[in-house]
Amino acid sequence: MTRYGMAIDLRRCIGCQACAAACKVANNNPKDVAYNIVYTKPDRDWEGSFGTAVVKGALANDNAGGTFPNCTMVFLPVQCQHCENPACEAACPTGATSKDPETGIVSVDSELCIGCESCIKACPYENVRTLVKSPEYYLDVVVGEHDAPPHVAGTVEKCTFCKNLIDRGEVPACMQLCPGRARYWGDLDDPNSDVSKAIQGRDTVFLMESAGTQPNVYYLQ
Amino acid sequence: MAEQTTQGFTRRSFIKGAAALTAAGALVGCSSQTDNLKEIDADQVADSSQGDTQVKADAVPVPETKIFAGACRAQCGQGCYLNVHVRDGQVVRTTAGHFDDGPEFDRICPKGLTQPARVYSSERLQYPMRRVGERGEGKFERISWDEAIKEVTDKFKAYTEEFGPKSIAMFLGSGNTATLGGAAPEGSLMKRLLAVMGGSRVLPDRDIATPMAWAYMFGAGPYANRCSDTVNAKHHVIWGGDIAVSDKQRAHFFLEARDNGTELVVIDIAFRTMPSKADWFIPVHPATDGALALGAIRYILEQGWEATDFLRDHTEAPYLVKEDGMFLRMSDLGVEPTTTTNAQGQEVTVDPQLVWDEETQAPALPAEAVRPALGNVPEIEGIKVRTEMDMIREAVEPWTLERTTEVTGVSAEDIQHLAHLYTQEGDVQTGMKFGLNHYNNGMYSSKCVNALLLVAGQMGRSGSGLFTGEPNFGEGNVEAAITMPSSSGEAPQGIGAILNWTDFCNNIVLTGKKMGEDFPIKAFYVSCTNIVSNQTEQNRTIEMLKALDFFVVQDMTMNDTALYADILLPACHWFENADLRVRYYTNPYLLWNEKAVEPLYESKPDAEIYRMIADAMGYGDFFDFTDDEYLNVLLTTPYGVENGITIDKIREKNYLKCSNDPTIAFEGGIFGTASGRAMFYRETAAPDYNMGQEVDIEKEKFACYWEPAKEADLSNPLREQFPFTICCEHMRTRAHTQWYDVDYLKEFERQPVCRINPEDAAEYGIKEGDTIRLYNDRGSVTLLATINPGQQRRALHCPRSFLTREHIDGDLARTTFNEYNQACRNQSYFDCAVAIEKL
Repeated sequence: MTRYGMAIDLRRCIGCQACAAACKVANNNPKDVAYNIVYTKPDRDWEGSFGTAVVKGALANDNAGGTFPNCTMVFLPVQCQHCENPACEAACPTGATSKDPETGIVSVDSELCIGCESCIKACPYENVRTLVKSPEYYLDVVVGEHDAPPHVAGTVEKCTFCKNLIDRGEVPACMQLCPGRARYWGDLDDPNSDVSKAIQGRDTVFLMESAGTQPNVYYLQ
Repeated sequence: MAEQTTQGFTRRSFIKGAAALTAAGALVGCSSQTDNLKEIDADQVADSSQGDTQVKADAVPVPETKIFAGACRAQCGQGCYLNVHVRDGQVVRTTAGHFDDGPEFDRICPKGLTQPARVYSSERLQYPMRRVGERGEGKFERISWDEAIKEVTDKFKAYTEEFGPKSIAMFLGSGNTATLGGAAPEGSLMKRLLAVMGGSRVLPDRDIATPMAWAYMFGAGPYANRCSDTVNAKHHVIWGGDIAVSDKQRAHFFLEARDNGTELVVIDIAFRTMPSKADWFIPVHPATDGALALGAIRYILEQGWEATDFLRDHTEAPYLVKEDGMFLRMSDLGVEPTTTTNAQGQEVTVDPQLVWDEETQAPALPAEAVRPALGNVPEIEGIKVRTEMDMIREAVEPWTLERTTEVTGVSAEDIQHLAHLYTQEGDVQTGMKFGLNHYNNGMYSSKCVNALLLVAGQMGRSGSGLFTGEPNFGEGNVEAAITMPSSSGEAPQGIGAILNWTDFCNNIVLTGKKMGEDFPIKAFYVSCTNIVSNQTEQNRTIEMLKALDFFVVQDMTMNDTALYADILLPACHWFENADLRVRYYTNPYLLWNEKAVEPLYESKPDAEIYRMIADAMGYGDFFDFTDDEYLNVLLTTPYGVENGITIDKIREKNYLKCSNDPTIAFEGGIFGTASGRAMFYRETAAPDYNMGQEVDIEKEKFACYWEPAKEADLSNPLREQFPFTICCEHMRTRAHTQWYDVDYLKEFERQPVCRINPEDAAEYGIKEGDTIRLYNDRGSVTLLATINPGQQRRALHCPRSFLTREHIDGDLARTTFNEYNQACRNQSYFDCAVAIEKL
């Protein structure tokens, strides 16, 4: 059995937005669809707000919290956490949202999704899903991988862990190269995977752990 | 069978795009560049549920994706090696290239990742154009390449005939750092064209002060320890740079060292990314870092913590200076100077400087003295002398903890702690970027920090010294490439004149005179640059451009400078031609950029355009070589010859590591100066430019001289009228203004903003998102305020790479001044005081 997961080292993340940009292009995402958002967080409360992001309406990224010069600024990349116990799966009335027992990847089947937003309401992680209304693209050219998600109006989209890429032995787009060397990826059930080794001996936190969904994205402090 | 999904390209979206362009006043020309896409009719779109424009084609085979080697050619200093993914003849994705022999240099960023959007940008210049409206209005008509080249070269020929070739000026910009087509590497074909035509070169004069301070004190470089040494430091101290933003591919070296136990100390004017990673953040008032260094030196000397042996053996601190400011030399003691021939074959006078040997209690040559004295030197044969070290003590005397705190805002405890860290806590490696450079006092501040490193003995060892980047191949054999004779054996006439930007912009073009002498400038040709946005004091730049007789712009996009062109020449995207990337500062590789796709529209490679101009000027014989032949000439540096570097060798893997510099700069304390010692003092000094300015040269002689910045100085009376300074911060998503046309990146930096301290905001009644105007006597900018507790009071941060049209009104670049320090030709991007008005 494979249980894909990620670890994101918050000591290393420099908020450069490379993972967000990589995701956006590789998946040919429309304007209003972001699977991966790097927030600027003015505190270290992991049960609280993720912080602010321009893509979610903030005027600017990279503003600190606190009082100068005693400030706090954490860069927090957030995507679908591919939970062990996904609240979205339980909430989905059509079976569109499911967790793949072979990989642990939680996905939404656009053929079955009716856009009821039950999953969005159930998920403790705000903004990791988007109900695609009328997909508009920045470019006339189709970019990204040829088998990028289809972006069907009236369906919900989110991070797929780039299943199309990992199925052919590549890594998720956000993992291809992190400038801060903050991201780790692999099979959490394999103790020799990059992600398992990255977690070992580190102080880890989960976002919204109290929601009980058992996320598979570890944050290293 | 995998399904291919394709995004429909509709006539409607094409028309919509064209309308937007017309509204912006920029007639770029539009056409469908999506020839591999299915064109679907508008009805089909309308019928599909909720406007979904995706269509699925049945049973289409998996399209082939080819990977080409790409070199990101922006002048961000990172030099990223990219994989360019091409499907159906289109660039669809970019990923980080991999170096087998240096994975720590694998790199990419949001800009590199969104390159497809630059290729397919609606802002691209599609065909040559001629201005039909007023300059800057952006009204153009389409012309053919033949017409464009004829018009440009007819003018160039006529001006040359009437006013001489120097009346044609060229600006070698940095927006395409490739060897053939780019202009920043000085061996580009544009540089050769300039030398063949005998035109005037206009220097950009950016980023000069801090490197000049290194050269002044340390001699010839390289100045920095290599990246592999960063983990060996016990402490990193970063001065003047939010590395994670402005030099982002270097940040991971600091962070890895930190994870291995290195303490990270950041001295900055705001709490930004690197401070957020620091173990210790030292907030400092803008442009006062030099004063902080002097305060730290004073405290070090007071405690007796200075690195005495290092100062004696590896610096000129024991050198003796007479009351008249000249060094004590052998001739002062009656030994006649001799002459010798130097490495360049010139005859030079030998009259060595002297030190006082404490062992023999007599003057001695530095190399022969057993223990050179750092102070308390008696009169020597009736001549009063003091050591450079005495001069340092005297210079730092006023910099008590109290005064240093008053000027810098750094607490006495922090100054003491910094002094202790630099001298008592093991190896300290100093990170430097251009934060100090971008003020009018940049060279003084940089020299004072250098002096601290020397007094602390933190140079010339593993784990200490400077960490500023990574040595690389450099610029190539520019001299050979530029002076190479034509195929008929004629030598290029050489560059006619070298003009400083500020002189060119503020004086020469407007008056037709340089320092009182006639110097008519008739034509100005710029390539790969956006000077309107990227030089200071935009209104002056525009005034100059409007005064020109003829202005030619070669670029990829309709940027702010292109709007002022008389003739626009469309250059193709970097991935649409092959070229070699040589020069970058943090990456030790030569990179080969393969041609991945055909040039779009009528755009042409930069190098081909230079060749077309040369041909039409009648200089075709000077360009009678293949690209490979020219590149091989450029690669014949001593290092290139020794290592057999040819363009074919580079193309074997499309990258080639150049390990041509030592891991440790100045290892063993051997500096690149004539004496091999680091210098604090020079008995003679000269400004690095001449505009006929008045110079108080005494300021330039000694490394511990410091004065406040021009406008950033809090005690300047000007600040009563203009209470705020602006740090025009580096953006994460643009390289200068490049990528302005990439909408993906507006999801991270959407519009111009001004970061302001919450108390300052409250005082002015400013709330998040309020429209504010920043102004001074030079100009103004209107933008949105964002409240940032990471700002200190009276110091604003504004991202600096937006075009004029992206601002609500004005432009950030209109607030800065276009004026040099008396001795250093440098653009002071941050030394700018403004008042705030809430609108």
